[in-house]
Amino acid sequence: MQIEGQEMEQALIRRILRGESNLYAQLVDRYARMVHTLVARVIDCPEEAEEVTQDVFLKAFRQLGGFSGRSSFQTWIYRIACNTALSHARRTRRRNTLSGVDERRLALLPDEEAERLETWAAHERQLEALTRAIARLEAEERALVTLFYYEECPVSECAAITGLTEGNVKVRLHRIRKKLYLLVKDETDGTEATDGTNERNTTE
Amino acid sequence: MEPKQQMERMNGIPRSEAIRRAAGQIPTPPLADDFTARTMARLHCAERRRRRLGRLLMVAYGFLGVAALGAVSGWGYMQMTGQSPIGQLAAWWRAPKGDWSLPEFEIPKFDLPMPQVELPAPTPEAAAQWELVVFLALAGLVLLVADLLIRRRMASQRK
Repeated sequence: MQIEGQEMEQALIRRILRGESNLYAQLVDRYARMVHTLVARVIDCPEEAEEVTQDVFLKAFRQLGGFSGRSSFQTWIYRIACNTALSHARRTRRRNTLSGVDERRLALLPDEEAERLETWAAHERQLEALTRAIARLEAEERALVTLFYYEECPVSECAAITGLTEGNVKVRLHRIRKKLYLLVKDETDGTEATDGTNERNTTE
Repeated sequence: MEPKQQMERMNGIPRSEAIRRAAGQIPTPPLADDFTARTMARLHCAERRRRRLGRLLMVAYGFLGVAALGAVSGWGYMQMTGQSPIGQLAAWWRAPKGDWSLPEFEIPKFDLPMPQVELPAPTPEAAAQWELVVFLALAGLVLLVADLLIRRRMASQRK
């Protein structure tokens, strides 16, 4: 089924390359939402996200002749989207994305402790903190989180999209998990401490 | 645990349900309904601009080529006749109708003295080395041409 779809896409691309450029609208229609989701999560500005998504499709159209068909069109356009969004994010680094996690703390954190992150799936408060922590990650890390966890791409596809090796993707995902754990833990510990102080003040 | 999660866990990277759910909570701004239409309009506009620029570049290159050819032939004309081509054009303009005669000139003879150098006869080792170099260069050239042909064939098959 998937191969059949890919063959149809290849045929469509061949027709576009032969001059039927209006057919490109079909590809835009098919992939616009996926590309936009990735771009919006990386650059975090709705107005710019739409423009960058358009840029992605314009770039893809210009480079369509270079699409060899070795990977799927989805992977190929995701790669263009990822590169375009990341370079846009680097150019306009307006947000403070510094996650404030010390490298030594990351290195010292045992893997088993970071695994406790799984227990938060059922807790609304921790999930909200986790959402905020994801938003505080670097653009490259947000792209990986979106691809691996949200879009559920396999590691090999994440590697093909980001241009990293599979080993490198695994290492980064591992670091991201630890980083998120520490960020959420810091936030919840801080809140608990503040709550505790408030409670003490009230009782006094 | 679902089979997909188990597979990823075996691969060393567990699929975290917590992160997946948290990532899902991040709001994605909706895409405008006319996004495709606007993208296609922008694409057509960019293509038109690119084609226009291409035509402009072709005209510019043509103009430059003609100018370079004119400059070289003008320089040659000056070397041979001692008169500028613009001056000749002005003379033709001023001359009575039908008089398109050129000033008399002689084609210069290029009689350059060639240095007489006697090269020593190559030793058998040097000759063998040269043969190897020439063979490798030819083999490289054949490979290069074959690579180019294969690439062209692959590109045409793709299209």
